[in-house]
Amino acid sequence: MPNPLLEVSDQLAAAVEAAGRYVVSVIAHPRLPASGVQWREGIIVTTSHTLKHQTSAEIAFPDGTRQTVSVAGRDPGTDLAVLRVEAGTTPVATRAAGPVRAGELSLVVGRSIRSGVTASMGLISAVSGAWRTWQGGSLDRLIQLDTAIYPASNGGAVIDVSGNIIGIATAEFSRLGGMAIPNATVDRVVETLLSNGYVPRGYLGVGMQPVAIPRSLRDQLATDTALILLTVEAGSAAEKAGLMVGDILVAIDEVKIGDPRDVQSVLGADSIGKQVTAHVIRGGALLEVPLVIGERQEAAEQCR
Amino acid sequence: MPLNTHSDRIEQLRHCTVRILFAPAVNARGGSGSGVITESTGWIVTNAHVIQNNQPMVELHDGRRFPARVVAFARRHDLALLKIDTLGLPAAELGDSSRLRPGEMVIAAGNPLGFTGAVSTGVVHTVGPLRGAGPNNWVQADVRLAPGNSGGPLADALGRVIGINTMVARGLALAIPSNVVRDFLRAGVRKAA
Repeated sequence: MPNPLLEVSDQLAAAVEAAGRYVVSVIAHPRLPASGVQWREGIIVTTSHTLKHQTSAEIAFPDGTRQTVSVAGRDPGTDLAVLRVEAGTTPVATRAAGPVRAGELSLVVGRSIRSGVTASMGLISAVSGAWRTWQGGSLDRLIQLDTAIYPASNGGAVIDVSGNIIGIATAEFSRLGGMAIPNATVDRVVETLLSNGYVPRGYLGVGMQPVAIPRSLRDQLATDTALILLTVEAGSAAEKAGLMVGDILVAIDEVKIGDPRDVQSVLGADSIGKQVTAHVIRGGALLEVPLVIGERQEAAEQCR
Repeated sequence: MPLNTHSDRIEQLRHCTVRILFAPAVNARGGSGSGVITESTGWIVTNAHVIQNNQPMVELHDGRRFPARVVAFARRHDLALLKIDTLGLPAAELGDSSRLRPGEMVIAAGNPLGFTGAVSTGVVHTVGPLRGAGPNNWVQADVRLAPGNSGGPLADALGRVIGINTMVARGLALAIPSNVVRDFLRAGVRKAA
């Protein structure tokens, strides 16, 4: 007699088996094992946070072979890292077709160096548009999971019930649960990391905190919060432009600034070297300060 | 195909799951664990840590209670074999834990947090040793367990017991593989005969 639960169970196990062929184990730090995905020929993608400060990692492939390779590049902003490996027998991950929807079943597939393929299951709990991470990276969409991501599954594959990849698993961005870093984001970041080793990002060199802006200026500015500068780094773009501690940053060009994420939104890779106008309140008066956006140093990213 | 075959199997599993109680005089909290009936003639497997050195009382799914004898006790495997004097009990079938695949569905039954006959479902995470949890192989499952599940069954989609729920490590449920349980059970029953 057919048993529907058994059929579902068999299909889930088959999906995990299929994905397990392209999921590897990544050990950068002996106490922090993680997983990775064969993204392209010769390229493994994993999570940046599980590498800690290591510059190389040992990879255990599904066929039992191992390679120790150096990290080709990493982007804490999107929690992605890229490792170049010699060609082997591991196939490239197969992509899920079509958009993912909230409520779909998904599995997180990792690989443990001790016991092989690992799996956990749950639902895709939310899908929305582009989302900026707390670390300043931008994800093409937010794919939130209610699936458990166990520590060693970070960097593994989030798959659909056919074994096709939806994104890279990370527990770094949300305390509510895991997320899938979408395929489109991985493609984009891998491309940049392979040519640059890091993801360039604009930089102002200021420390900020939200404040309420003076009542007298609220109507004129049509907003009630902005960011007060608490620090201005020596030699930074902000210092060169003459910004001072105590200035209240209200807008950069036409973008209103009420939250540090608003600042990050104007500091994409294409902003570097661009001249913009910072609108600040200083001594109760509104000033326009011309500013040339700097570049965040790679070393700073690595030592985050 | 009606889904009630699925519920039936879960119901069967619940009927094979017992609650293990101690008199409050013995255990101040009057704590309880779970166990699973493996023979209709009154053989019950549970965790050694559930029993400790106490004289257990077994409560069946229908509420009947029986004093139990501890027939075998293996601290190394964290397993204990109990015997109650009755016949015609619903008994669970032991599955083959060596054939488990990551991603296949599992069902845990037991008495977590004092609830009776609660079930939870999830999938097999992997089967093997876990860093920090000794050299033994574990059925590691992505399923929610709570105190009181200890000693209870972890079953596959057909309701065959593939592990004895034993502990939770970093959110993962760890169960003693049914093949280890089977060997323990054979040795224990032989010793008692």
